[in-house]
Amino acid sequence: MPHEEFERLNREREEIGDNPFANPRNAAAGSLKMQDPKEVAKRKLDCFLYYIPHNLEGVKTHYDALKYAKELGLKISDNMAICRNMTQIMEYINDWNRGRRHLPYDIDGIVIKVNDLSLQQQLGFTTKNPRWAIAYKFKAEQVETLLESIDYQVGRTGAVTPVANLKPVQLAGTTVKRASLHNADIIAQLDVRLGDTVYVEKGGEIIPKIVGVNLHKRPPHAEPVRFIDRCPECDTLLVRKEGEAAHYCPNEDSCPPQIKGKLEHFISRKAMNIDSLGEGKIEMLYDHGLVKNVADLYDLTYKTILGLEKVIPAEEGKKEKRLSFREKTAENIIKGIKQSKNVPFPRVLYALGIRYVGETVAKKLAAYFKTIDRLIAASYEELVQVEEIGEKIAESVILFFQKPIHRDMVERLRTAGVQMELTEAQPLEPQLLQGKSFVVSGVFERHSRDEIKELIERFGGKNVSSISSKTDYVLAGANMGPAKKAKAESLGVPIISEEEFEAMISRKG
Amino acid sequence: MTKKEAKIRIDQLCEELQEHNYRYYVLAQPVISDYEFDHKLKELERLEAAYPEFVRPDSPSLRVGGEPTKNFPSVKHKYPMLSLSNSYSLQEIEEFDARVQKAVKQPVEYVCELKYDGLSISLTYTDGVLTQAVTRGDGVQGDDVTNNVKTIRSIPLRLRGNYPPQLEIRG
Repeated sequence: MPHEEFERLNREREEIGDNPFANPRNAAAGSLKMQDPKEVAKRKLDCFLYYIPHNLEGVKTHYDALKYAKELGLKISDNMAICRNMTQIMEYINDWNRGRRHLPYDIDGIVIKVNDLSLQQQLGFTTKNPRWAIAYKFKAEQVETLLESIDYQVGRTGAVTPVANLKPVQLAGTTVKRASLHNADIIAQLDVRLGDTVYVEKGGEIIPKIVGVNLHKRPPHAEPVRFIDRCPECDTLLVRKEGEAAHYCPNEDSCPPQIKGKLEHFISRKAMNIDSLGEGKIEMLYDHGLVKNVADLYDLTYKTILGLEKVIPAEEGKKEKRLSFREKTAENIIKGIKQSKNVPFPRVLYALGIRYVGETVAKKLAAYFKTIDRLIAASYEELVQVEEIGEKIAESVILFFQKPIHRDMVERLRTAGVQMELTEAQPLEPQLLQGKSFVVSGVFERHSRDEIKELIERFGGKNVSSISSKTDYVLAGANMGPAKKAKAESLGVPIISEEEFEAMISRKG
Repeated sequence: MTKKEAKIRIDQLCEELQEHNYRYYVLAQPVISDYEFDHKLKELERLEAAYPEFVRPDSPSLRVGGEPTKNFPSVKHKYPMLSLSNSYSLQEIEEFDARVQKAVKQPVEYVCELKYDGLSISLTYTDGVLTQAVTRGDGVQGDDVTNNVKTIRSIPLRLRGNYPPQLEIRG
């Protein structure tokens, strides 16, 4: 598993209150044992192959066996080397001990194998290991430093992460000042205390971690860390659900990082798709007190946001930066917000950020209840009747709409013109054919011509009657007129079949 | 589309997608856009849904994940999957070299490789098609995780070129 994926996965796990994986090996092993291959597919696992345990005709060395495997299309690491003596082996080890931090993957050592396969056979095996190979494990680079204090950061979902502030120290080529302590369980396991001298390690990993405490240097009277019980951002009492490792701030509607999280979710591409706003701009609007919940966005005017400024103070190595909303920016923001009023109801429902209501669930709920009012009024029993809606989701929906602040937000959004019900004319489908023009000709197997034309429009395409150089596609059924065909070919307009057309619109947006 | 045509098209798409997978994930030299790739994959999935009898065991559509499995059957390794002895000092490597030289009584050539931090897996290709993927387990038997392994894009579902009837390879 590449570093990047490993870190993404652990961030995700912390956000949902799971314990992070200790290393890429655990992460990969855990991934391969998941019950749903679709989930496995989402984890970006990779695989390098390195050993064929049986003879191959005409292959005399390990090196050639792998070369052959490569010809068969198997992925073999390029970083192998033939070494003829100890000096060359040492060189290889030293090179990679230094070079490993530039690899996209973690390596924890190197492997040395006898190349000649007949010699391998002659050497044979002990009960546990082959006698013709040995692994050399790198020492993880480790330093001692002082744990000065612990900060608590609140994430976009309300998860609270403890972060250790360390006395700056050099480790594997970088200065380390901070290290994540993940959650209360990890703190308890390590039994780290303020003022402790801790061991910080950086294997191949990019993010340093605290692996232990030098107890000899523990100051007298050092007390075990007491995890905070109130949110450092909004002072709300934290909660910890049974079976979850993370502490959460339950104040989803007025805890600043969570508000920003909700706003960011609301404007995101799959939700309201207001791409003239982004994380930085949301932050600015929030910091100026203009937007405290998603409904506030629709009260913004060109005048109120024009000229807003934010100064990012100078940091080491970086100059002071000044951001401001100029005419064009302000105009685009207001335009984007206005356009979002056309976003169909299922996406609006998703944008509200109800816990466990993802894109698919939002679509199902919208299709079943048709309007937000019916959804708000729905009982638990009604909700669980909907396809794919289980107890967890039903409870979450009910809890969400129980709060007056949420119902009030819905009202304000509705008043602003945001879609709160399904209408037949609304394009429910992703606009996959946006801007494409089609000429439909001939007879089709699975659809009538009119159905095809309707599909084109529902997916955002345009029907035109005659072929020109501006036509994007000719959708051809059986018995298409030969003249049309010739014309399409001479103009280089692609001719697609019913199947190909279906494939175009079946791609998930 | 007749049944026969469907089969031909399925086969054709499988071949094409395999070639593109190889170029993308193994060679890192893609020749078509992600969009075109997805497009072809969707067509294949649709055809496979309509004609399940033609789904091939090496179909690239398996990359996106098949049906969930409740448990992973235990499978005995044909060749035991031993772990390597570990060493932490250069001195231990010198001792290893001395042992080897003494046993074979001739100069020895070594191959040095990187040791990736991950887990080991044993792949079996029968007539060029990936038929089984098993974890190391206790070295004698491991868990059959074939369906999950098929989602790893850099592992070919079908071998290229001149492959042996049976190939086991580990990574």
